[in-house]
Amino acid sequence: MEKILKISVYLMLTAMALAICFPVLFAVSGVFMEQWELERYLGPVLGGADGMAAWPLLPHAPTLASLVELLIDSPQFFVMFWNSMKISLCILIGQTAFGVPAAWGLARFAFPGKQVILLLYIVLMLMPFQVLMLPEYLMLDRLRLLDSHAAVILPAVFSTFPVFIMYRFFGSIPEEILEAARIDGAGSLQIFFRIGIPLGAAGIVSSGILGFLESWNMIEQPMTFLKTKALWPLSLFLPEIGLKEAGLGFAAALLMLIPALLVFLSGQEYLEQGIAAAALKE
Amino acid sequence: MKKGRRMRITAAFFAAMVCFTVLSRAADQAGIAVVQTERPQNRMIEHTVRAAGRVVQNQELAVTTEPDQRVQAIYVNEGDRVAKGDLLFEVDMTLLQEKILYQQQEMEKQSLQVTDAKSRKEVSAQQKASAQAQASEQYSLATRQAGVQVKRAKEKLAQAKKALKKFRKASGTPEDSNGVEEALSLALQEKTDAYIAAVQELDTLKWRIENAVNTALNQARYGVSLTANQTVFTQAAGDDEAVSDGGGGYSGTETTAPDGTGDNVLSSDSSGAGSDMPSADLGSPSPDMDIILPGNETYSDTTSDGGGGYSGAETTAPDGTGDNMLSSDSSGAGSDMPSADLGRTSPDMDVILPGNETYSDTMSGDGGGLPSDMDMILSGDETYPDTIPDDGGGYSGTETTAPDGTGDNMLSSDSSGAGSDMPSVDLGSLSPDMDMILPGSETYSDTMSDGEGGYPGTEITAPGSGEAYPGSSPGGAGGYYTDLYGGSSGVPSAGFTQPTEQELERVEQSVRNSYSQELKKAQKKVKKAQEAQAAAEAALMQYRQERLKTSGSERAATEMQLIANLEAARQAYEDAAIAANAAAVTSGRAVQIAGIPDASDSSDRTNEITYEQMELSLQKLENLREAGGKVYAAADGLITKINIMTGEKTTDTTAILMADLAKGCRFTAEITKEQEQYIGAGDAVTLSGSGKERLEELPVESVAEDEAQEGVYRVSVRVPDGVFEIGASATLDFCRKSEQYTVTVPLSALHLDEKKQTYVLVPEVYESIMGTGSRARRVDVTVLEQNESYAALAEGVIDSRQEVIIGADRAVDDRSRIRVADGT
Repeated sequence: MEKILKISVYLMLTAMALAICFPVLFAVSGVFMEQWELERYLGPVLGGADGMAAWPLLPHAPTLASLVELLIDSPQFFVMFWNSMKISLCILIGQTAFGVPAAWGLARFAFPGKQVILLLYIVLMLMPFQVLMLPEYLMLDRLRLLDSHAAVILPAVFSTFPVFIMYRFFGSIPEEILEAARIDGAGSLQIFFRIGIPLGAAGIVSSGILGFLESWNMIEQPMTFLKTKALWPLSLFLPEIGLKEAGLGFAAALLMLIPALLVFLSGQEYLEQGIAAAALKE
Repeated sequence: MKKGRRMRITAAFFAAMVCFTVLSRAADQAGIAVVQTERPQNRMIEHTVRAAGRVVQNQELAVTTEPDQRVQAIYVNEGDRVAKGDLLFEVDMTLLQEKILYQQQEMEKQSLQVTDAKSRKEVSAQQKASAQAQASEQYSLATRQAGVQVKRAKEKLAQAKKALKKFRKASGTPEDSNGVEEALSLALQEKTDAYIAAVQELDTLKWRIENAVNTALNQARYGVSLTANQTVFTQAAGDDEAVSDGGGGYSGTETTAPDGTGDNVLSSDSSGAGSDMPSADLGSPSPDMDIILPGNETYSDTTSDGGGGYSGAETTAPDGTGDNMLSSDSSGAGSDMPSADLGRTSPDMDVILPGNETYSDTMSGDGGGLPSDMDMILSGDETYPDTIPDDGGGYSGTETTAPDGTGDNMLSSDSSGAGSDMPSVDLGSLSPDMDMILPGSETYSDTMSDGEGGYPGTEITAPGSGEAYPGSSPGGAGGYYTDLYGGSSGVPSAGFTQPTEQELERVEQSVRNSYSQELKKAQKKVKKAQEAQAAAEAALMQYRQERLKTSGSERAATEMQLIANLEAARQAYEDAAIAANAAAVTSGRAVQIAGIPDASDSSDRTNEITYEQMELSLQKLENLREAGGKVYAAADGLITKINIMTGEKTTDTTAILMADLAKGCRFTAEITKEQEQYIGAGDAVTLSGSGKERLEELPVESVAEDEAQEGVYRVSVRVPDGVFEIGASATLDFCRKSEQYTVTVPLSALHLDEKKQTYVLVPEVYESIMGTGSRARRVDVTVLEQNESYAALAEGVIDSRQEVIIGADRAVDDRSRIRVADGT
């Protein structure tokens, strides 16, 4: 009886997992479809054709034409891909450079107004981009940074979310370890580099992964701050695609998925710890 | 997944992305067109006309010779230059001699034919003349016999009257005191006269109908009207009829007033188109005057005599009371007519204006010798005045004047040519009892017999103007044939076709129908006159019988006998008068038939012409023989074509064609319609030959479209002597420059869309994901002028700083991505 219950739970979970994975399958199968096939299936949704949209799991006439077209005949895609890589890595480096010391300071030092600053961080973290868009725009304009990658990178570098995550990790390091280091004669910097960063590595990596995923997928900021198309990231490639280039869109979506997937896989265990740490209560 | 493996996968992914980045960029660059650009320039558009042609001679000379001669030798070849007098070729002399002999024999034969034809024509003319003379003789004989018989009958009648009178006187029979018998007798006399007149009229009408039918049939059959032989029978009777005159005597067909009351007979002729009429201004003649204006060929046999006896043709009053004879002729197209202004003629005047070919016999006044009696005769030429010789006065010829010369006015006028006038007859104040006849040509204007109720009042008959007897005036505006055949003139229409039998019958019927009314009327009149005469006769007889009853039987028997004799004599006189008319009609017709001319015969002249032609031909042959059968060049020239071959016979076409070097040469070339716009007569061109020959500033003589080829034009340039050979090929060059244009682009920069709109492509910078790039942009332009290299554009759209794409390594259109090649 217990066994039957177990099997049924598994089946239910598998069905749910498949349902969650379906969009991915959707994208993958779309890559290998011909243009006419895509138009037939997506026409009712995108092209104003009659009937209901449908989606087979396997393409009727599999082809690599879309993939080839994307890789060989679409230099724009690669311009945007490398734009995205540039923006994401810069943001990642910036967040690491500024966010890690900030989080260590907030977590390990006691100073007046510390709670207020922390509260401010939390409030800012919860604020959506739409709220910050106008002030950021005005500031960037004043700084003459609009229509440059810096306009996207700099605000993201000083984002509060990674600081908040790392704060939690650094805060969880036992005080005894830091005491022992001090007794052994270690200074503040030595403690930060030799004890703080190694012990908070999981937090740093997980915040980095989350930060990368966020910047890789960011749409509003480039749309708002970048006017020159040549500076656009890959996240703005798909909105340019219509039904006529649906195959190209699926192929681009597949390639866009790959870096995010690789980053996720490489930092999977740290990410789990990081998410858990974020959920811990002080 | 192990860490190392993850790293390798990541590295491979990025490496692949780098590779594809490079690959896609390379592919993208390969698809971009490399273009050359240029800025519009300020320049003139030059139109160059270049055409290859040939130098040809200005004039060609054709060397010909007699046909059918064997060529013995040819001394020149095509392309040879010959001087004047050079021997070209020669023909076989034997064959030439034979030909000359043959030609001479043929000419002799032709000469004999000419003689024969002339002889035949002469004989024919003589025969014709003889026949005419015979007919005329018969006419005069018949009429004379008739006249004699009438005279005799009249004498007998008079004798009978006298005998009766004498008997009555001798027997003491009381004369008809109350004048009843006299009245009855007079009535009978009048009825008899009326009867005779009616019968004569009927006879004449019948003949006229026959004549009209003949004329109509001839007209229909041959398209010509034998107008020259139509006969007009004019009978003019005065207000006193012929028979009732004092002197008595039959006065021919047309009896004028014998009592000298004045007959004016104007007889005129307008032959040909007959559009004119006599113009007779008679002023204000007195009453009792007849004016007759008959057309040509008129028998106006108006006779009247005072002293009795039949008077002949145009016999004037022997007593010289004053005859005016006006003779006029309007021959040819008959333009004009005699214009006789008689002023104020005195009463009792005869005016006759006969035209040509007129029988205007018998003008006669009366023997009364009144000074006021005057005859006017206007007779044209070609008159047959001869028909009836008269007893008293003798034959008086064409224009017979009064022998005593007491005042004859002879007015003779002649006018020929095309006519367009109409008769103008100003009669002034004509009194009643006057007859006037204005017939056109071929008119029967017969029988004027007023006075007794024939045609009372003024009678004007003008057949030429449409009121004629139908069929009698083919040239008249309103004549019968005009209606039938639509022609307004008497001449045959050009497109005449032979009518069918049915048509001819219809024509005849039509003519007869047109006369039927008149004929019936005449027949009725005869019948009526006969009845009236019979009634009058019966009344007289009854009266006489009643009167005789009162007298003694023996005397009565004798008187009865005398009266019977008188009646017999009267009837004999009637018969004689009628017979005389019939004889005149019949024999007159014979004269008319004899007058019909023979068909034209021009065989003698034709033969003569043929002979002359043969003579010319012979002359040429003899000339060739004299030259020894050799043919020489007539001028310096270049042999361009030889049509004869040694041993072959010559034809009547050109033997040798040569260019006349003395007349110079010219260059001709073909150009297209597009080129023709830029070159015209007078333009200075350059001619260059295949060698070093070169001529500059030569004016174009003409540019004309080739008749044989559409869209091809031929330029002709006169070439000075001595530079180019005839037949040499050369090239013509000409350049026409336009005005200065500020915006000109090479023709390769121009493009044309499917709506025939011209446009150029200009490079423009644009932003894209790939960064800043270049692409082509279309700009519509207006072409002002262009040649094969450049086009001038209207200003405003493109300026001189704007680069224009003038070439590309692949097809470029609006919005094509381009890369401007270095160095442009």
